Amino acid sequence: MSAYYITVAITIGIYIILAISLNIITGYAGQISLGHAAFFGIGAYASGMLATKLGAPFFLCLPFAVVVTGIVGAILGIPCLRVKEDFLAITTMGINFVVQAVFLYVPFFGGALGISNIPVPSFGGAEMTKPMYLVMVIFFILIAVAVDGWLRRSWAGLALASIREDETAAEMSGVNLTRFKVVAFVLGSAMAGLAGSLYAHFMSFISAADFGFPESIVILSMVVFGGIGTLWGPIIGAIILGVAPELFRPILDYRTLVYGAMLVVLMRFQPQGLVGIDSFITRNVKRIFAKEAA
Amino acid sequence: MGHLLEIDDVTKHFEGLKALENVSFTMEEGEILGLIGPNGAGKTTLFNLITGTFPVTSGAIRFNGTDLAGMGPSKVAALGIGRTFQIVRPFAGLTVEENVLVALGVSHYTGFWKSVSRYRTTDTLAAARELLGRVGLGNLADRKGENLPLGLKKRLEIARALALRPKLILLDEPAGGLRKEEMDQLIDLVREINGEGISVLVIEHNMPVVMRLCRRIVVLDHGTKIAEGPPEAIQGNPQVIEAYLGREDDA
Repeated sequence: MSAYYITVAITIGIYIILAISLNIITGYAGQISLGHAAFFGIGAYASGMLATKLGAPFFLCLPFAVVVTGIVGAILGIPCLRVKEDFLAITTMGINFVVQAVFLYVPFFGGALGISNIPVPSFGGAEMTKPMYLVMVIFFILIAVAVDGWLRRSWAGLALASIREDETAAEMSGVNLTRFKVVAFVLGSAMAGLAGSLYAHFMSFISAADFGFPESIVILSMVVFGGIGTLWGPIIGAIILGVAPELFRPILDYRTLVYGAMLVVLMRFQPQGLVGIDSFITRNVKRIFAKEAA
Repeated sequence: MGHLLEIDDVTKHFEGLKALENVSFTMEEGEILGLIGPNGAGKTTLFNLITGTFPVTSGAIRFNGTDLAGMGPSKVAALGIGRTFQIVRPFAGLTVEENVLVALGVSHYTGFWKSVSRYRTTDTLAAARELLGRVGLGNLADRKGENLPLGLKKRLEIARALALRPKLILLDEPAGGLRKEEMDQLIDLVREINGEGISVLVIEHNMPVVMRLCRRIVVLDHGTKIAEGPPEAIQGNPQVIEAYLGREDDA
């Protein structure tokens, strides 16, 4: 496998983790977020700075990034508790701009120069090769899928679903809104922090520009494109929308045009997403399996 | 001592609008108490105060001797007060079974280990089936909440309220929008629930339904209690007639 394919695969892998993490907040708990890239960035900066300023090894930087992003997610989640829907969308967008501005204008975070020379993680005494890095990313995807699957089957997951459906009815059924919204924000943010750490040590250079509002929209598009609120939707969305720009490389000038058209066509005909609940694909896959079982 | 629910001199103002003024009454265990009054009398406001949606301006609400002040809706629900809504609000995108499971999880939402455990266990599924059977939704468990007709949505809300294992349920216009035979079935259901020892506080506009269900009625008008007593006395009470029909010299 050429280095190019591996690089694309690692990038898509990081997007898969991001999409899964946003799906917890927006898909399961129903809390729209237009600022998810902020948490991706916080994870990347936490990990990258711990590695470059204190020389900490990657396997310490990564858990550090997860914890820091989770804590920041809880703090930034607090203003989000009192707003809903359109207002929440604006609030999360604002958070994205603020976080990005802090990275850009506070000298401590490297300003416009960002953080460079983030070391490649070493494993067994030697620097990790790209294929090894890909294996590690896949390993973390599996962990993210496991956490996601566990959440869906737990009382906490059911509580999040009830909040998504009707907040008033949920709290009258014994669900503490504050507690479970914070759970969703912390879990989703921490997982985005994990993706950020993987990104920082893969790119070795990060700057505020990588974590702006457009990046948040890309992540949200992946979730919605694949099928919001499902386990497979964000994964498939991240793969397709991650591969698409690479496939359309020959028609460079029209890349964003095709990309945008894909989104528009899908939303027109399959608003629930490619493998969303009751989408064309889901229905047919179910039918085929039902036939085989019979 | 001994009252199940005690509304003690409760006042609620919304920025100058006096929704409730010095309302007091008590409810005994095992009772079905009717709460009636013209539109805007403050009935639903009182429900929202009991369930902790917003705090009282003054006065106190006590449940089984516990002051509910400062408790949010989820805490009040956990104490054993279930409710249904005037405009039904089932969890539309969840199945009928999941609707009930949400409330069955009430004791699981407080501790970390309890809330991370699996919710589909043999016990909880059996409990959900049993509750759905009780309200006549036994064979619709896999249906989406939004796909039920109104009458069944109301039953689903009752099943969800019962899933809290409540001592008291608050029904906000349970008969509203129902056909005659649905109403009769509803009355039977409420009596059955009450027969199991669950007390019922019911807001209802349909007088025949109130008269058949309740032995005692509290009447609100413009945020104050204007009468309290058995149905026969309420029906003949001049103040109540005036509240509903207006004074003779107005006409």
